[in-house]
Amino acid sequence: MSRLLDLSIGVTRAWSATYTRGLPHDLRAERREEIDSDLWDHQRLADLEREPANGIANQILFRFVLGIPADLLWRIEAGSTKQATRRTSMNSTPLMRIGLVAAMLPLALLVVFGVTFMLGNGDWENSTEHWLWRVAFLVAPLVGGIGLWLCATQPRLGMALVLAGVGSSAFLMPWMTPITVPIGLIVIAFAIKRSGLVIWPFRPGTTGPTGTA
Amino acid sequence: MRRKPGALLPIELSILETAITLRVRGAKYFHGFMIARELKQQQNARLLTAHGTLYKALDRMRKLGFLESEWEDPLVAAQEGRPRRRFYSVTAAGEAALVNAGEPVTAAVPNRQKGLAS
Repeated sequence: MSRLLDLSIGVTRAWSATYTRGLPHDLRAERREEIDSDLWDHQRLADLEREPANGIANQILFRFVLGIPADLLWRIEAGSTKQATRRTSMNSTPLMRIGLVAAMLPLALLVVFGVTFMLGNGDWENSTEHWLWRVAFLVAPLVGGIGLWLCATQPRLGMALVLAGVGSSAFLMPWMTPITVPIGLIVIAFAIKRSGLVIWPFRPGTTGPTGTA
Repeated sequence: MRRKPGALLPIELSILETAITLRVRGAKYFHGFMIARELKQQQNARLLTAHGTLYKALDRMRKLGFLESEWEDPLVAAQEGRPRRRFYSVTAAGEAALVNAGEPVTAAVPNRQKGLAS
């Protein structure tokens, strides 16, 4: 066997190990085994037909390179299916539904505050600046709540909205920091759990500190 | 642009046609490299189908129910000193999909009734 043939087989196998990384064990093992079997058959046939080793190596390399886009598409599809399944199963548990209601409560409370400010309660003037503050008080928790809801179906957008909503709500009430920061952190942790995003220290399929939120 | 659900790509149609041709010739099951070699011969291509293209197509067709697969007994593969193979076969849904696609199945399968019956 030529060095080029060794190299082409090694590169193809390394590539299949790379793009299947992170997939469920069975799915990963099956794809890798299928590629290994293909490479073995290819090499075996070439030996039987007495084809030059370098010619086979080139064919294997061409098959590897030309298949990269399809491999990546397959990987994206396999990964998204896995994530969607995990998210759906995770969010359908009673604990997660209770958690969602619990996480929504502080945001709903802030929305109520925002509404009362809009109605003129509190020490507010009728200036543009104060109206902007009123709108901010209403919009920030609403954005956070919508983000929390979206986390299950659009995790990245949902998480961005949660961070924006919770962060700006805390910013609007600096005198309440000892309360808003821990509650905000709990809401963010729950959102991470609900989204199914793999962010340290949360591992997929585990119940983290948000389960009791 | 998204494909219509269940719509077949040219490579998938070729795989179905070739698999049915193989079955008519007596090979009820096929594996990845075998179908790649047959495709190359039938299409007079210079290269075998790329790994990614071939196995992505097989995977999709299996999920759509056009193919079914089973893994070879590991002992058989071990006795021959090679990795085990995944064997595929065309299902009734796969045959129907090929017919629905309007492909000249009869050209690939001289005796269609016989070819599709097993």
